[in-house]
Amino acid sequence: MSQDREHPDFEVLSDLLDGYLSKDDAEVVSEHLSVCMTCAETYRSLQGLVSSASALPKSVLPPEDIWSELRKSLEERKEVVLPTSRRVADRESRSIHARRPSGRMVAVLAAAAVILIVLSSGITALVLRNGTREMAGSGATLTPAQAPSIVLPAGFRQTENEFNRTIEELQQAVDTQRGQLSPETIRTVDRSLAVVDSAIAEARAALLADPNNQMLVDLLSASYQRKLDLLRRTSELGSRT
Amino acid sequence: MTAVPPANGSPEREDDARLIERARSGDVDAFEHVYRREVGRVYALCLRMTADAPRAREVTQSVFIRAWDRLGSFRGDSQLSSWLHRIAVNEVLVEARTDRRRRARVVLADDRSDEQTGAQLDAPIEVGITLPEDTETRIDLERAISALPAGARTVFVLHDIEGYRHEEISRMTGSAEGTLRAQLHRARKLLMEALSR
Repeated sequence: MSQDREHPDFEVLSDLLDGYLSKDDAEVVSEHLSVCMTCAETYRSLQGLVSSASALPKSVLPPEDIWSELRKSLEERKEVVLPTSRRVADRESRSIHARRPSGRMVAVLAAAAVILIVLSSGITALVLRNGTREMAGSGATLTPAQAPSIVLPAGFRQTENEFNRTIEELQQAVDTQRGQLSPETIRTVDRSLAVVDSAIAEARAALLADPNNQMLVDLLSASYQRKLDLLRRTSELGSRT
Repeated sequence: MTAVPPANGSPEREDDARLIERARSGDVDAFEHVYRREVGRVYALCLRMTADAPRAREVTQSVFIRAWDRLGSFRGDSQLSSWLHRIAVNEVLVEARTDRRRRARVVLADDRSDEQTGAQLDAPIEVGITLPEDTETRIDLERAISALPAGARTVFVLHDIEGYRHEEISRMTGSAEGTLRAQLHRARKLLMEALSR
């Protein structure tokens, strides 16, 4: 980059503003800006834009109050909120059994598992019927591990990667908290995860066979989301105990 | 983040602790205090990242529902507003992933109406905020931001408005820092072009 003769790219000016250029490069570009009115003007405009953006209001109120609607939803969800957290001293004095999730919470997880089983085996089977038939006809027996991801719709590949990254992080968090959960809770969670994994595998295989089917994209997204929710809830449960 | 968390033991932190303690026990009134105090910041982020007022409203609700569900995981070692902000960013990103068709429609909409974005940006703002130059300029900038492609808009909002570093955005979005820098350059370039017209 010979700044005496060539104008620096916009990206270079942007990097200069953010402090990403090396000291030497920053000096060269700054020197250029001191003699080139055009680039200096561009740089000033860029500084103005970034300055204006950082000064935008950080708070904008919603057009109408959404609290009453929200309150209703929260009241309905009270069922799954655990009792008030205790002081640390109280926690220390409690027995290991007292720190485990309540029977009610385990019941909630168990109910979630049942719902997942019903939803996954029923709805998934219904929605995937066509896709499975097509696969059977073509002799394809793809599993997530074997399936080439290149066959998935381009837009969904990125989405799936993002889901998997988040799931991996949550899974690690849950794995580290396993010791804090009761065996019954762990069994329920594992059972639920197995059901969701099965639903993901089925939806993914069907999508590979029918990549333009938006319903399958939605179903697969929803299955990933269910897994995320389950892991999140389990992680929260672990952190509360 | 732009905001610097208060030191441990500050009055604000103690207030947060009391509110959270009450909310954890199912006290919705306590949670309403949290909501009233933070909704503007959460909604602003959702509105800018989605560029769609109805969606921003929905996501804002989801953020507070998620926060309610996750009250047990708030340990008080970060500021409550920062914790909520992280949830908001995550909710917007997850919502965008699971509804790509709708996002595409928003991004491609050239004829976005005032009802959807511009007019909403005239909404009441936090007391004490200094507007950049004048309200008209601010609204022009907000409109130009809302017309950015989704990826570039996300990075611009998080980096240049909210003050996150590329490293933090990379952790939130799963994108490489180099990709984020390229998106930011693109956003800035497009905005300068749009504002110079």
